Amino acid sequence: MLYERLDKILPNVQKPGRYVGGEYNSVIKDKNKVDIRYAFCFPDTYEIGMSHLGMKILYSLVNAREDAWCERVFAPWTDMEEEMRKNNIPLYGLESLEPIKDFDLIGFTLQYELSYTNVLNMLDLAQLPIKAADRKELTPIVIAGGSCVCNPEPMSEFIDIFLPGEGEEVTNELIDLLKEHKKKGSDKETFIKEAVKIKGVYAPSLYDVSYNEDGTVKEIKARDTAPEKVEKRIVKDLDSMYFPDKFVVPAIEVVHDRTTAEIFRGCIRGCRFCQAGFLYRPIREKSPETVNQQCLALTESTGYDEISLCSLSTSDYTGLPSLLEKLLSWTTDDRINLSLPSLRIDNFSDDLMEKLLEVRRSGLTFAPEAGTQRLRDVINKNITEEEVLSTAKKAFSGGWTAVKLYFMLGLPTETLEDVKGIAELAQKVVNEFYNNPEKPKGKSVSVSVSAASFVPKPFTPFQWEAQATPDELKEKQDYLLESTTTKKVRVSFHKTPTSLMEAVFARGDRRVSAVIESAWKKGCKFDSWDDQFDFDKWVEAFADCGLTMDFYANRKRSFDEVLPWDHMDYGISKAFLIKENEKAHNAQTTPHCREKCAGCGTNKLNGGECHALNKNMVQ
Amino acid sequence: MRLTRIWFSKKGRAKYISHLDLYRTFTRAVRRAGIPLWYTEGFNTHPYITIALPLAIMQESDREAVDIRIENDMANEEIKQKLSATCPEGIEIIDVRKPWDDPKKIAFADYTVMTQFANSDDAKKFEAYILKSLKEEELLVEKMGKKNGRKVMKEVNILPLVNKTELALKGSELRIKMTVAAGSTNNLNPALFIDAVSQKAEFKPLSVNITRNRLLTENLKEFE
Ligand code: SF4
Repeated sequence: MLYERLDKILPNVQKPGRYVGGEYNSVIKDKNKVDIRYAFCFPDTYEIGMSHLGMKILYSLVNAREDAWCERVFAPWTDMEEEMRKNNIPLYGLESLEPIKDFDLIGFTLQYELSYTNVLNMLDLAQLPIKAADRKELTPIVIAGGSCVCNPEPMSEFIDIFLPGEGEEVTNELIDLLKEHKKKGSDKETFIKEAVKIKGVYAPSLYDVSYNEDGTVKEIKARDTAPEKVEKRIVKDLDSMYFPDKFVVPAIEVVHDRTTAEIFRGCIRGCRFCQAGFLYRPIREKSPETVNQQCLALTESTGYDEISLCSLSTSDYTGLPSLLEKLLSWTTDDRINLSLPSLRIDNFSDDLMEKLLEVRRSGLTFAPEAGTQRLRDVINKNITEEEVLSTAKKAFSGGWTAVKLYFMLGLPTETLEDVKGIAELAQKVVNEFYNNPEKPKGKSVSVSVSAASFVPKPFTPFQWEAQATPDELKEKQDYLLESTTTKKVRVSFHKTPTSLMEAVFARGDRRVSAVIESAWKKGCKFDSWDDQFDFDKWVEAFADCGLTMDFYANRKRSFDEVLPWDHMDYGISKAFLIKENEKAHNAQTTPHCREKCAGCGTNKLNGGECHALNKNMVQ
Repeated sequence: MRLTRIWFSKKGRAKYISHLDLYRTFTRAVRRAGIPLWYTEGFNTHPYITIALPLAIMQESDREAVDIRIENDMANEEIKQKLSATCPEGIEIIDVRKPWDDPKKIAFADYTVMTQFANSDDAKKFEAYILKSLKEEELLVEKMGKKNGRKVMKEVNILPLVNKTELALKGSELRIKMTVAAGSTNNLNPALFIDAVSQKAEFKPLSVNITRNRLLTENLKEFE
């Protein structure tokens, strides 16, 4: 155990509480009584990783097994990394404080592209070779899951096995298999060849990729036991699915420190830019009874005084009124706040609105995403100006004074007219406040506009589109600032170089692995942190590898180009994506899934079933 | 509603829980234990939880006190039992009882400071420096203070804040037991004392481990 040695270096670092574990509900086991030791790694700081629901679920799921012990690992901040390297302390699990290089499985969750260099850095800190091919032993096997795995290619040099889709079932199957092969004394190759027989397991080493003269992918070929297409895993029934009744309760302050309950997976909206909306299909709901029970158990075991409902679009949950009734029946007495992110309050009854006002109000947010109706039709964002304004009006009457509006710049077909529309819409929200006789007395309104840069992502109808170049984005940002004339509206942007990097990784092929390695060797890490991100090093890394960012980010693809992720099957049919892309360019909308099934194809993953269509859970 | 005082120790990994984080930690532990916390009235309601004397992060303690207000329907023994099960690793509940002294009465605290050196010579040298420092007029340290409302570094003589010291040398290890001023008016963190001596000696211990042993009142009686 490293405790003694850590004790000596921790006085030299900021927030030492990140690095010692010992939190309530963290799981301590006897290492001699388990067969598989699993290091669940989140490639970012403790505060961010500890806020992530997926990690909490898998942590408890693995620890529910008697034969396995899952520990948490986060990326040490630069000061701690320096101390660890100086004192030769390898990356360790927070529970046992033992080096993870001796574990059997090392699992990373890839939630955003800009965490990739941290994965390499963590492997290196663990004192393991960063490349999969250089790790010859059976264990540790390095696996990765999370939404970025839908295009795993840029990370394929470093990871042994990817798990596309939902991890609840496949994690257990993989642990069973590894346990068996450890006993048998198999070698790594044998294990991997067996592992890919499990549905939803992708081992990049068993695929050969060839390229055309112009740099595009020519062919992706599976070898040996590997399937031509890797179908993502989904859990059929969320009510019977494993869900923890305990969360590790951090002592230091983390980003989200509360009970989080998942209410459904997938999204009925079909916004064409939104990867999450397509990746998590088909739609599956959890019943209000189950959610309520899980919230009750979690709040009791954690002592949290806040519950947050988690989904892509909370108000599309058919069980919402029923769930809120149930929750409010005990949360008020127990002094627990409810927070409902991604909520549209327009379809709420006055009664419910009243009840929500009793509990602490979270900020009011809208995501029109585009400034004009035309562009909103292009991206299929089903929200009209009237809806925004009437909801804002209702909210102002209800006492709200701050509104957040989310937009994107650089969307396909966008013109300066559309950019100006953003400023105009924000202005109209401000006017709505001042024209409202029921507005809160003596208060002023604040509207904040956040304009992210659009990043085309795999498995969306825009996966073939070019990202706007940094210059084009800059022009649009400047124009938006020019068009904003009131002080009541505050505008903020995403940094453009970061969005460019995201675009490269999101649609990169295997050759991008070399760029990531080169950038990491130059010192790149924590790229999602503004104060750490070093664009110049990335530029060098691309040059060193003979690749350009432009090729990956700013190039429009044709429908018949082989995409680097074409061997990944997320259930979404390419024909559907092409149709949606064509409709986008004609500014034609597609109705949401409850009105009419758009034929995305994901229901085939669930035996033809999709809760958007045939499950009415309103009670 | 009644006030109850919880005595606890804070050791091992729990020493990394900062004073501020300890409030949140206790609030949650008490909620998990199902102890009926009393909440303030009004819109922004919160529980009443007061820690008698802040303990610096990375220091351990044998005996700390936290006062909580509860609705008057749970016996102290039951609170102890329930809370023992819901505290994180390293925090142990020693006793739960009626508060006797007001936390304002705290004037001193006993500490044990374990210092480790590269060899016994260094340890001996450091011991000599401590003894020498204690005999001098003043021992100055730089402290963040306020002057005309602005933050400035100022020199403070900490010797008057040291009430008693007891040194025990064992090989390369030097144990310092000290009674120092504690509380809201005068307070000395023993780490500061070690730093001041290190500056004089021009070398410092390889490691310093500080444990607070007990809280004392004005006349050096145990705070109850
Ligand atoms: S199967 Fe149809 S209803 Fe279900 S998510 Fe896909 S398009 Fe929507």
